[in-house]
Amino acid sequence: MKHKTFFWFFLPTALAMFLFIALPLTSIVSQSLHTPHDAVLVVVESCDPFGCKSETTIDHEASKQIKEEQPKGKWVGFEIYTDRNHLAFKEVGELWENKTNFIDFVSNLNNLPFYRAMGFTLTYVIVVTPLVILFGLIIALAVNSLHRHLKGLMVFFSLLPMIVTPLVGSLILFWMIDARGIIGSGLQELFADPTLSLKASTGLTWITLIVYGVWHSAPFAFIVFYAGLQTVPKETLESAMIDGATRFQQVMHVVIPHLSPLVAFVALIQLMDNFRVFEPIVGFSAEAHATSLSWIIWNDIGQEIRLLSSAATTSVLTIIGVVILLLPVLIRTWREFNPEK
Amino acid sequence: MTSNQIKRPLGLQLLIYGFVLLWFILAAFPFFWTMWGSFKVELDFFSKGDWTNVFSGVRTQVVYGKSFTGAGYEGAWIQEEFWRAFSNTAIVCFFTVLTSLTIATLGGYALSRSGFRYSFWLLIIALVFRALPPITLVSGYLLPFYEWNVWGLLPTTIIVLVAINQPFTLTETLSSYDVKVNVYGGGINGQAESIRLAISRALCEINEEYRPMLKKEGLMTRDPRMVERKKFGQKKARKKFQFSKR
Repeated sequence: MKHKTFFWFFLPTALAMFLFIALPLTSIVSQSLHTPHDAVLVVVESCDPFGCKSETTIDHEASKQIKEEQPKGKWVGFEIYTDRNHLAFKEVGELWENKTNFIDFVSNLNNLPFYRAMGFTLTYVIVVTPLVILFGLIIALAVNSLHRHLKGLMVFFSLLPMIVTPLVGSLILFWMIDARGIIGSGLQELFADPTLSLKASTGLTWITLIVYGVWHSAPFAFIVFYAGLQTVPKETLESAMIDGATRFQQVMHVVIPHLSPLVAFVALIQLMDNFRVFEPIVGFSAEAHATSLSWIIWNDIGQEIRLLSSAATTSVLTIIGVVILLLPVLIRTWREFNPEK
Repeated sequence: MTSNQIKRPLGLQLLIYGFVLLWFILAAFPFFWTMWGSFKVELDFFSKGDWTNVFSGVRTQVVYGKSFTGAGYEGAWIQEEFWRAFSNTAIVCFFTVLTSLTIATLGGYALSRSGFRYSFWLLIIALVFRALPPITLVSGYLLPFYEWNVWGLLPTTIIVLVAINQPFTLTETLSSYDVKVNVYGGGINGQAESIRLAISRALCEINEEYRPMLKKEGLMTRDPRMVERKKFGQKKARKKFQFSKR
């Protein structure tokens, strides 16, 4: 394709991405390096017949002037990055110095907001992604072997957890696991423990969120694999059968190798989507036990005084995390694009 | 499927149907359950004492005189003005999908057709953008949008959503289909039509559900016209030998 044609075809997309993704990104980086100006304080001495008092007030004129001179705020460099709410170098250093053993160190690390969020986000990504792929594959194989009149119906119902907005989906489950809801009270009956609550302990909350994550994303893996199953070469399957391969061997050696590019695709998309886990935490009101990077940003922005610098810093750190996560994929794409010279 | 040709043993059959049933319940039950509960008062839906209240609707009967009530819907739709949110969502959804699909299709097509180095880097950038949680961008929007006084307007929402959707649509349209064809013989038009038929047939291989649509458009029909055979005693199929009477 000619450069000129390419330019005109790509222009609208490029413009949208530049104006609303690239520019905000630079703005975020700059915000993360600045903090709002301190108010200029003046001490005014007021004397009356009973004596003199000194009062500290905000000099609005001067504050406004500084703001106009430097609209971005006070330059602080990487100070926000290293403070307690983010990378917390000083605190981590102290913990490392005073640690008695490694487990102790990790559990203390959990008190720092950034590492706490990182801990849950990474656990979520590592546990949910393989489970989603596994369940998606099993569901696809099972649904594919159904009678053809049942298939369409099952495909529709299987997609429900994915189609419904994550917030609504997690709320629906949240109501069900409530102590008065059907699953919550059912579990209490089952374990004969009327105080059992899935929301009370950190471990149970994490399990709930992970189960929700698998429930929500498995349909995505399912539909991709199901589409892939329709293109499995019949000849190879037939020859495998003639050679006496069992059903399991057919699946392991014909079907799964055929689906392997799709597995890579699903893994990539799932890594990205699970890394930004956010809605279930809000839906399940789980922030007391589990936070994620996205949740921290939302929390900073949503407060009465918007902590824009803090939110921006977490955003930048998240973006760095995303790039590290994607690095293997990026390298692979690079190799595909540049065959050996 | 080929595996259907040999009958499955009963145990496997039961296992498959059992698993599908289990998954069906997992996937669909929460929605049915919540829908059922939405016609009840809260104390019935969340009944600590006796869970069968959800079915009998004891307290719903006390309040409304019957075991089902649409009061929840009336409250949400009219009193809480859910209709407003609903219509806003519909508007935003329609325009966002329309615009993003249009421009991303153009962009995706250009990316897949161009083999130059810059298209690779554009693809990588789109991939990274796709992986960004949209919420990381919000703090970048806040300041300028408040400055220009456009925060919270429908057109702003649509434009921002279109922009955020670009990397998604771009990477996903790119990875869908790419066609490489060899055609032999015939003229330009004949080659084009034969490629058309081949693509339609390939689509049907991928998904049988495309067939009726394609059939309706006449894309599944092979043009049956062939060269008519040459007849003996004639120069071609219809053309006669030249003859002169004198």
